Amino acid sequence: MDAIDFDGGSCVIEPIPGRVRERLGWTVVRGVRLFAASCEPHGPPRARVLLLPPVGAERERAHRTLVVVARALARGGCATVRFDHRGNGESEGAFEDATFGEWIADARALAASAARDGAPLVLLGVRGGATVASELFTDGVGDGLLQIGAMGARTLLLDMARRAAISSLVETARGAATAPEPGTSRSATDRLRRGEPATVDGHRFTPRLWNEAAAHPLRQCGPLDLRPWARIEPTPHPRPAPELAGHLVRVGFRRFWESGEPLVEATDPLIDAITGWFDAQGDAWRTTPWRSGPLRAASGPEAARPSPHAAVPGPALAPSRDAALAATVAAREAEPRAAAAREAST
Amino acid sequence: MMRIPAVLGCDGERLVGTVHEPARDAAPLAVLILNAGPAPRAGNAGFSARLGDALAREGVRTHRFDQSGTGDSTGESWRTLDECRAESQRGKRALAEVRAMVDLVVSRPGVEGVIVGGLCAGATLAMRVAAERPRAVAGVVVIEPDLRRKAPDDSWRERLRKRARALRAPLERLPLVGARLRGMRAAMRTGLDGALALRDPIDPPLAAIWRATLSRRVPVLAVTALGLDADRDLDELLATIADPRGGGPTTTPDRRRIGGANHLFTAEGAAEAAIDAIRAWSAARARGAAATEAPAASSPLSAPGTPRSRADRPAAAG
Repeated sequence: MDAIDFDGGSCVIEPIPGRVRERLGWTVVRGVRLFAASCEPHGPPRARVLLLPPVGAERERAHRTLVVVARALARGGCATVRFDHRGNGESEGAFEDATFGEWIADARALAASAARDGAPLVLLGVRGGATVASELFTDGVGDGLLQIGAMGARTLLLDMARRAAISSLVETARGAATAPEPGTSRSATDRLRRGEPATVDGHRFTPRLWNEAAAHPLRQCGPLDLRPWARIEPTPHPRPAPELAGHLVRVGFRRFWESGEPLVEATDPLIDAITGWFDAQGDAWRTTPWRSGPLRAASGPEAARPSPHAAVPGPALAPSRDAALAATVAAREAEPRAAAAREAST
Repeated sequence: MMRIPAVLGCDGERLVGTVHEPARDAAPLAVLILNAGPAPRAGNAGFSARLGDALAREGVRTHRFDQSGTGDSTGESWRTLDECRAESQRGKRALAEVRAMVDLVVSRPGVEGVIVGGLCAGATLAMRVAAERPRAVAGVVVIEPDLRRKAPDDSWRERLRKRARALRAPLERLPLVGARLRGMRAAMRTGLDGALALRDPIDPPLAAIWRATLSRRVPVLAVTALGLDADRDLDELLATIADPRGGGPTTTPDRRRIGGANHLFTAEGAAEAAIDAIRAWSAARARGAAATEAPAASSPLSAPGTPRSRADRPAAAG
C-alpha cells in the first residue's frame, strides 16, 4: 500500500536500480495539492523516512541530490516519502502566500499518513525542511530525526537573502545581470527588517513570512527525550554548539543547497552518513517503549495502532509527554538490572 | 486547470513530467517546456511551472519533462555545467529525449502540433528539435539562448583565461607605491580582464539551424534580458545569418527584451514580464491567431524602436 493518497492519478517509475519502485503524483494536503513521491524498497521497510526539502531557491538546487538520496535509502531498505512544500517546486499554491506555520502543518499531516505500517518514522530535513522537522520532532512526531544545514526560520531567511545579494553582486560584476538604478538598491535583508517585501532569488519573501518566522526558531530536544537524532553538517562546521555534543556528524560534502547550479557532486559521503546513522540505531527501535506508545499516539490517530515491533503495547492516548519520557527512562534503567538477574539465574 | 504526472520511457530511462491540463477544451497546439540546463522541470523560482499554469488557463495544454539525470527522472546526474551545455549543443542523447517528448505530445488526440520552448540550454535544444521535427514543431520560444560554443579546455582561449585568472589575484595584493607602478598595475589589470572576458564564438552549427528554421518560416519568439550577453549574442547571430551572401532567412524572430532582468529571470518583476510575453505569444499561436500579434519591437533585422509592450519596459530593480 502506498504511503500517499494520490489525487488525479499517479505514475510508477520502474525499474530503478536496486529493485526500487517509485510512485509519484499530487496529494491533497489541507486543501492544497502537493507534489509527492514514495519510494518503496524491495521487501518490508526497516524504517520510513519523510524527506523534508528546503524552501525557496534552495529547493531547486537541492532537489536532484534529495532524489538521489531517497532512491539510495530505498535501495538500503528504507521506504521514503519526499514532497514539495506548498508554493515550492511542483506543488501548487503561491510562495508568497506560504509561511513556516503552513509548511509545518502540511508536513505534520504527511507524517501522520507516512507512518502507517508501524515501521519507525524518521524525519530527514534539509535547511528549511530541517526547521520544520525540528518543530515536528520536539512535538513528538517521529521516532528519529536527521537534520542537514539546520537553522531557525528567521536566520534561514536572512541567510538566503545575504547569499542571494552576494550572487547578484557577482552576476552584475561579470555582466550576467543589470546593475540596479542608483538610489533604488536596498538589500533584501534591509527590506525584510523594515517590514517590506523582498525578492530573493525570484521568490517573494513577504512581511507575513518574515514576521511569522520569528515564532519558529530551531528547536532542540530536551535531555529526557531519548529518541535518536543527529545533525549532519559539511566539514568544517563553523561553530559546533555544546548542545550538539554526541549528535553532530561531520561529513565531507558540498553544501548542495548553496550552489548556483543544481548539480550533483559526490553524494556518496552524505548517503553513507545517513545509512550509517540508520545502521547505528540497530534494533533499538524494535525494543524501545516509546516506539509503540505515548509519543507516537500524540502525533495523530494513526499512532494509536499497536506497533508490530513493540515490546510494550502502548495506550490509545498519551497520558502526558513527561510521563511517557519518565516511563522510557525507567524502562531503560531497568534493562541492565533485568539482564543481570537473567545472567544470575542461568 | 490541473497538474497531472506523466512518465515517458526513452533509451532505458524514465523521464518524469508534468502536464498542465486546461479546464476547458484544449487548443490544437500544445506547448512543451524544456529544462533550463540542470534545473528541475519547475524551473528557477518556478518559472516553467508558473508559465505552464498561465498557458493552461488560456486553454493551452502544456507539458514539462525532466531530461534524464535531471529532476525526478532516472539517469546519471549532471556533475558540471559544461557537461550539460555540451550535451545540449552537440549531444545525441538529449536530442533523442526531446524528440521523444515531441512525439508523445503530438500523438495525443486533438493535438496538431507543438510549440517548444526553453531557457538557456533548453533554448538550444528547442531549436535543434525544430530542425529535426519540422512537421510537429509549429513554433519555438527561445529564452536567454546559449549561442556560444563552449571552447575546449585545451583551446588557446581557455588557456589564456586560466593564465589570466592565475595572475589577477596576486596582482591585487602587490603593495605598489608610486604613480608609475600604480599605472602599470592598472594597465595589467585591464589586459587581464580583457583576457578573462574573452568570449567563445557563436556556434556555427547552431547558426545554421537558426537560419534553416527561420527560412522555413517557423514562428520564433526570442525573450532576452535587455543588454545582457544572450541579448547581444542574439543580435550578433541574427546579423550573421541575415547576410544575403549566406542565403539569409526571409523572416525574423519576434523579440521581447526584458529590462532589469538577469539571465534566469529571478530579478524582481522579470519573471512576470517574461511569462506574460510568452503566454500571450504562445496562446495566440496555439489558437491560430498569429496574425493578431504585434510586430517585434527591437529586432536587429528591423529598425530599432522604442519599447512598446510591457515586456520591453525595464522591470523594477531588485
